[in-house]
Amino acid sequence: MAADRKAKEAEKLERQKAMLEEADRERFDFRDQDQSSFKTDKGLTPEIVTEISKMKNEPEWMLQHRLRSLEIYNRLPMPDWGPSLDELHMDDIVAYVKPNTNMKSDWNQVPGYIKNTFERLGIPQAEQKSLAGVGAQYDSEVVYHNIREELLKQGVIYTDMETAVREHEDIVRRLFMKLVPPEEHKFVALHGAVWSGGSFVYVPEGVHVDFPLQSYFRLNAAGAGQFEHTLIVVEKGASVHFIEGCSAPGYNMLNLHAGCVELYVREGATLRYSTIENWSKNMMNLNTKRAVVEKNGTIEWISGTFGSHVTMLYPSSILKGEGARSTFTGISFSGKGQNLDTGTKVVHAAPNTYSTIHSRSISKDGGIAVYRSTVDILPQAVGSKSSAVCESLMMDSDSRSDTIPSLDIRTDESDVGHEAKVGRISDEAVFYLMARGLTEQEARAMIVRGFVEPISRELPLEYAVEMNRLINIELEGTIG
Amino acid sequence: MRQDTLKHNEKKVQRMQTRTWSHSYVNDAGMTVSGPDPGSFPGNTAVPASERIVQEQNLDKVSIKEDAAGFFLPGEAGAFLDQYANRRHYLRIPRGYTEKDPIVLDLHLTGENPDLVDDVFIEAEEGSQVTVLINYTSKEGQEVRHYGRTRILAHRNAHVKLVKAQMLGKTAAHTDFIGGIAEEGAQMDVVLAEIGAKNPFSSCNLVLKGEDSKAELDAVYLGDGQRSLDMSYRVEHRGEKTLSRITAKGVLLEQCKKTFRDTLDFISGAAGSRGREEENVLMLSPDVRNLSAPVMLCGEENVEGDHALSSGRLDEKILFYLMSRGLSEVEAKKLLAEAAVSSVVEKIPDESIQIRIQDRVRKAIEKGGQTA
Repeated sequence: MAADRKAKEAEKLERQKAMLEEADRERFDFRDQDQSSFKTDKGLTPEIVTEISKMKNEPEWMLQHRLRSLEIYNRLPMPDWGPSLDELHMDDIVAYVKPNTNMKSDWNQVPGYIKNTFERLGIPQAEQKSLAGVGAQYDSEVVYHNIREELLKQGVIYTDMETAVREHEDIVRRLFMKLVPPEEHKFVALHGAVWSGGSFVYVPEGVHVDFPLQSYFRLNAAGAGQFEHTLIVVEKGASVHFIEGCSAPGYNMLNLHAGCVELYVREGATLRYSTIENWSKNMMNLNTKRAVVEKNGTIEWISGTFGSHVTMLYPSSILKGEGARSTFTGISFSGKGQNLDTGTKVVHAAPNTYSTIHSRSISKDGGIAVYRSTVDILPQAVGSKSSAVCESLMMDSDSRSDTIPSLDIRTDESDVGHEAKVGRISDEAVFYLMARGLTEQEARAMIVRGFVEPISRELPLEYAVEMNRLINIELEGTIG
Repeated sequence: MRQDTLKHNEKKVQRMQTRTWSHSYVNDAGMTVSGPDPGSFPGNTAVPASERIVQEQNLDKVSIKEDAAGFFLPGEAGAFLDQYANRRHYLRIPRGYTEKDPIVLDLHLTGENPDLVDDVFIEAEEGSQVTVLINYTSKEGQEVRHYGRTRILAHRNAHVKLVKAQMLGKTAAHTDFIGGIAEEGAQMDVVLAEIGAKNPFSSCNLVLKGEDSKAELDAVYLGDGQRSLDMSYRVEHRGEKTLSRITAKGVLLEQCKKTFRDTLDFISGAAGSRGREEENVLMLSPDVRNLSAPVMLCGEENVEGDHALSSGRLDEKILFYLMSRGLSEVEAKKLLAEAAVSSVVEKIPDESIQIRIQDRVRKAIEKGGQTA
């Protein structure tokens, strides 16, 4: 009888798994026919970079920035650490793909197939229910951007980066790639040369944006790169929650994502930056994110990494003003063929600054999950505190889970703690739950969901549900 | 250390098993890879031990199938040791035999004998037990150089305790490599005290090869003045149900810099293994630099690994309590620093060395801990 029950359960699970995998593909892996109006040639040359700039009708300083970044890109070596990037050949990547539309502020004016894409991803629906503004990028350009009227009246700016370069040139020129300069590493230099799209957010002093803003980045074209730039300024005493989502259909060739995020959190301001990333598993995701936080300001990073073939992503915080704070809450789920190298960096550069890091990772089916971090306490950061907890769950021995933190402490007047754990689901916990009537599969699934709960509870409800759904999809193939 | 600051016989070598960002300053360090022929060093004879211990003053007959010390040792440096070692000791503890008292190698470097290149191999046969204490000393102010390698091979169910107390003067050079392999049911306990030398450079790699083998690595370090300490310690869990612990306790003062890397590496197949690493650092001056990289690498599902690191100053409440009981600030700090390292120091099976280590800690605080 027990064997029958087990067989039936296994069959049920297989059915569920198949259904969920189909649902997954349907949800994220659908492709549109290539209807782009313009593409650059494959590869990276000064001519291609100049062509992108001309297409965008940019000021001369931006063209010069691009060309300088290209020079830096050509000069800098590939990283000598982290996952192998040998599969990436820039000569095969199309850096710029323009969809056949300009940016709209009405979904009805967006071409049907693109609108349909974002509807299937649930973006317009979410906009109506729970967001204060939405930006939607399709390949290299933003196709839709809108913000609630009342926020406009309060002086909040939420637009695409191209518009910001034209209409808010003074701010952009002062801040663009100043926090993350092209010299930082090879893929930031690449970004500086070919960036396109992304969002610009400006929240004036004292304004609290009660509902999140969301930008969604969809890469449809095979063999293309996406290089969006996000620049957010939250002025003194203001607050905002920005959500970033990204996905792409799967192809048999590599796609590349090398975005850049620069966040300026002014005195007493708060910025929550949430990301749910579900790139297809042919994506090289080499993204750079950094925040600088002034006196008593707060940056909160929420980061969920599920997709991509290779990810190198380490949101970083520079705590520049006294009393500045940073929290990082991250989860990664690495499955077959994935190498997700994620983590965070914190620089305590002022007295009495605080950082907390809470990272969890799951690896299964040969996936590699790496947690990598640095915490730097500079000499002037007296009275600062940093605490990190990093936990990794291994689902099988084909997978890997590595924890590679480093700490550089340069003042005695600081308190720093770091803890990490790696392990599997405990047999005792499974036994306990089974004794209370759950099957082994149910017990294990419950434990994994509990493992990620500290992350999902930080997300708005819709996104927590989305994250749990992604985890369910991943788990159904594993548990039992 | 930057490449351009390296001396002619120094080389930038990788100190992390898995590289990370260059700006973390933990990947590499400059090390002395060779030196001139050190000439002879006195006393290359049998060390005091019972007659049952087999001793040789060369390693010619030793068959080395796997060299755990080689993990952190560049080939050039290994060749230097092979060719120029002026103290060689092979100690074999026979099957089932327990050497009750520690075997002690007192290695004192002087102006007349300033260069010691030692190569020690301890082989513990099945079921045997031994403690080996190697004590390096030199007078303060003397320009002496120590370059060494110590290897352990613990056969089935053997138990080897290796204690290395580096008590050299602050002008001494010290480069040291330790490697150990434990077969089924064997245990290696390694206690390392890095107290002196100008820029001590220390490495230890312990491989738990056999099922149910164990390793305990306890380290204590003291950094003061403008010294720079570089330590890389690793335990590899290869066999099933292996057990390890790395514990490091350190006190840092003045303008010293310390880099401590500890790695637990669970290889696929090490099912049922458990490992823990812990570092506690006491920083007693505003200008110290404290770098740590507690790494955990895991290719096996059925393991438990954890690490914990804490770094900071003395607890102000406890300090205040002690001062309210009549202790001066410096005396209170000395007491607390002594307590912070005592759990490791107590594992050294020689009371006089324990006293000398605590004395060095106290003196360092008297000199450099005033500003804490």
